[in-house]
Amino acid sequence: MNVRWLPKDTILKSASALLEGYEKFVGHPIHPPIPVEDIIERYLGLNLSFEDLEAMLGMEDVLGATFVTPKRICINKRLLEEKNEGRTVFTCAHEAGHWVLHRHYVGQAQRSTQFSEAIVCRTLNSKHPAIAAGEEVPGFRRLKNG
Amino acid sequence: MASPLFSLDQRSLFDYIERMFGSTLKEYRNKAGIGLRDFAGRVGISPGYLSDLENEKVAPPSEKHILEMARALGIEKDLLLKAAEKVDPEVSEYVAHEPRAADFLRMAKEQEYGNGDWEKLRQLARIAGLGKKEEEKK
Repeated sequence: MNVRWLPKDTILKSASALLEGYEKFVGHPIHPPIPVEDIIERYLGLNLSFEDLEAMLGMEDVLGATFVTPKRICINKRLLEEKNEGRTVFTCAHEAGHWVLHRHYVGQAQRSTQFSEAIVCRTLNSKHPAIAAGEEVPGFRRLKNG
Repeated sequence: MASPLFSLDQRSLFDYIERMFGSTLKEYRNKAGIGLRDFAGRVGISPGYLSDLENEKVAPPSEKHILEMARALGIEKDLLLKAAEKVDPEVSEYVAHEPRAADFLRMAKEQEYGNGDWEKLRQLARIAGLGKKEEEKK
């Protein structure tokens, strides 16, 4: 999938605009820790869940996945077990970033399979870094390592 | 206040069945603006389990946890108990210690009491002056 390269400044502006919008939505200024889950669920209106993503997608080292049409963000349950709060929150924010910046790249093509519109994010040390669209999971497309 | 045991209020039975515990819980949690992990911590369950509950991958939790959730959300416990098809522990305890209440409910079930019957019964009980409140008035 070809995704347009964005300068850091553009991403920063987009993130700031999202936070500003959320502040208007809740009616007060927010300070860290940023309520990432609430931004995903209430402000962006997405379904957030913690899943056994490896079993769900049939691949290893998956941190999170964004499903565009069902408007769903799934985070690997294992991150909770590791009590790695930072990584859990970061993955949530990372997936929210995909929704904001990349959802338009997905979904223009086929809509045949459950995972056809998923952006799946895996760890950099993933043992299977190069699953191409339509190979192991039919219709599935991978954006990049998370 | 409506009886927690049999009030189906104005919704049709179909709507009632459609309203599953998980989606009901998620709706109220979102309304309250409490995140998954935050809410799980407040009611003493794991976020993964909460996520499974909300997505109806597992059966509704125990009555104790449901009451805890209603308290954390600041909502009527009946809203969650009904969705989980569970009985308020206060009510089941009462029935357990008052066999005549159980007999009465069994009769009501056999006679297929409807919403109208229960409302009539409530009015009759008031007119007959049943229970503690009426005695105190005398």
